[in-house]
Amino acid sequence: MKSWVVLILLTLSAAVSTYLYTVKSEAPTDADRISKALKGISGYLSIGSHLVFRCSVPASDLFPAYVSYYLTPVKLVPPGSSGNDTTLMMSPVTATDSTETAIIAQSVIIWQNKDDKYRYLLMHHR
Amino acid sequence: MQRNLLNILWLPLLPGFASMVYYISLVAGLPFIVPVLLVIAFGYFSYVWLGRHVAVEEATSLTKAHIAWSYAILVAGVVIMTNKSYYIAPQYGYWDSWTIWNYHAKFLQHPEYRKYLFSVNPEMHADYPLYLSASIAFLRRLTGCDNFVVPYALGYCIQLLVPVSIFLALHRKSLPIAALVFFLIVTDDFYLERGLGQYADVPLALLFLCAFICIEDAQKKPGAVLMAAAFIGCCMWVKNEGIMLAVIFIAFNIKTLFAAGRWKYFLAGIALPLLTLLIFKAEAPSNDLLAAKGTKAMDLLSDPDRHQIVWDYLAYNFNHYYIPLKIGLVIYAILCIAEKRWPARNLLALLCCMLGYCIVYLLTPKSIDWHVHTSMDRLLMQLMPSFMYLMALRFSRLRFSLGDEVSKI
Repeated sequence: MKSWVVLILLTLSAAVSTYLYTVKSEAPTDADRISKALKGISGYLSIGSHLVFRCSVPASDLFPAYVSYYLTPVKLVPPGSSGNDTTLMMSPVTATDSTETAIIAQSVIIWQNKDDKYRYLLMHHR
Repeated sequence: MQRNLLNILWLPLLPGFASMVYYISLVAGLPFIVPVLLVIAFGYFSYVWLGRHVAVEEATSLTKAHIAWSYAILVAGVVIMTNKSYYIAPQYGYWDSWTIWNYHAKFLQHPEYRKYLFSVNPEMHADYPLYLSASIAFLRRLTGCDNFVVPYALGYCIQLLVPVSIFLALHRKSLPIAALVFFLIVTDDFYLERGLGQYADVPLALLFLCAFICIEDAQKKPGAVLMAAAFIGCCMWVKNEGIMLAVIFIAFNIKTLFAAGRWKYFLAGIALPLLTLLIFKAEAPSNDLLAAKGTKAMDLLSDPDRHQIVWDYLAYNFNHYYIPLKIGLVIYAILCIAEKRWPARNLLALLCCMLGYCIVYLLTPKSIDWHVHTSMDRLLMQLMPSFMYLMALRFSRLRFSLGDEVSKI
């Protein structure tokens, strides 16, 4: 078997498969939604800073991972961590939570955004 | 080693080398052009060197029908894989893609982010080596594509190379056996899903397989020792368990790797991966499993409930995801008993690797049930291609020996 024939075959296969992957139409995922929503936040965060992430969306365990990924290299810490005065809150647009309302009332909102499902608030504690 | 097989084995060395020099260049604060030029130079010189020192002339012993069938099988398998992969592939990979491999790549894409990699949350496994992450980061910077197309394309190429390598390594010995193994892998949805899930298990499986393929030629061509050493070095650079696989591989092939002056080739092959790993480990936090062991090891090892859990999951995996492998191992064992022979040395090495995994599970400081449940299927994937190759190698010889017996009669 000729080497170049095998290499061309594999290259073609990789190119076609990658093309099919890129044009594959799938409904937007939560990762897409978060990526789009957080686009404007990076200007408010310094490199390597710590950010309390408060998420009241029970849908996916991967939400903190999506947020960490798109905000790299910001480190997310759980609520209650000491020494962190900036919080990113993510919650459903349709629901209101009394704890969240209280936190918002005690904070200054630096940046916010929302999409059809969630709202995102970046807050600095007073 | 035939040139076509050598070319295929040369391919996974490229991301290996790129990831290492890219990581070292980040540590040293070198501009991006340096690793790019080094990778181009490595690609050219390694191709030429391997062609001179490892490749053998194309034998003309194959019939035209054999060659035609080989092409037909290869094309059919590649078409099947091309057609199946894109819709089996999860859009952005699975859990580990988000929390480990692609996430770490984000830190490596920007030189100023690298130092923060080691301060991320412990569940993000900053101690995991960077073959995959650094390759993705390198390719993303090179292409300017900061998206999931790069990890998909890399994952696809790697998972394609596994069955193709096995096929090219075996088709001269026995076309039916090579075709059977080839189609078993390319039509295995579980394999494709894992390969395209942007995990590091299939890359590790490919590199370990390549080491076994190379070691077959080590007696004839010392250059193959260099390749085998480079592959096990890359195994160590993919995942922490790759270090265990490398140690077992070396222990079982020590004579082949070191005798008759071949140790020089071994050192040449493993030097860069080892150096890169040492630089990385000097910066990275310690492994969570190793850090948590301590004095309770004997208690954990002697707990029968833990053994039962590991055994149950092992049996479950073999009965659900690795049925061809299970059948192959049973046939192999029957053959060994019938012929009153020990299994091949490297098959014993693979069994040792499996035993090593089981011991790690027994010693895990995490919930053993959770740990086994979330990872055993992928760990077996790391060994599956090598198992299939080594068993097929044995079965292909059997076919010829039976043929000889028949011809004698």
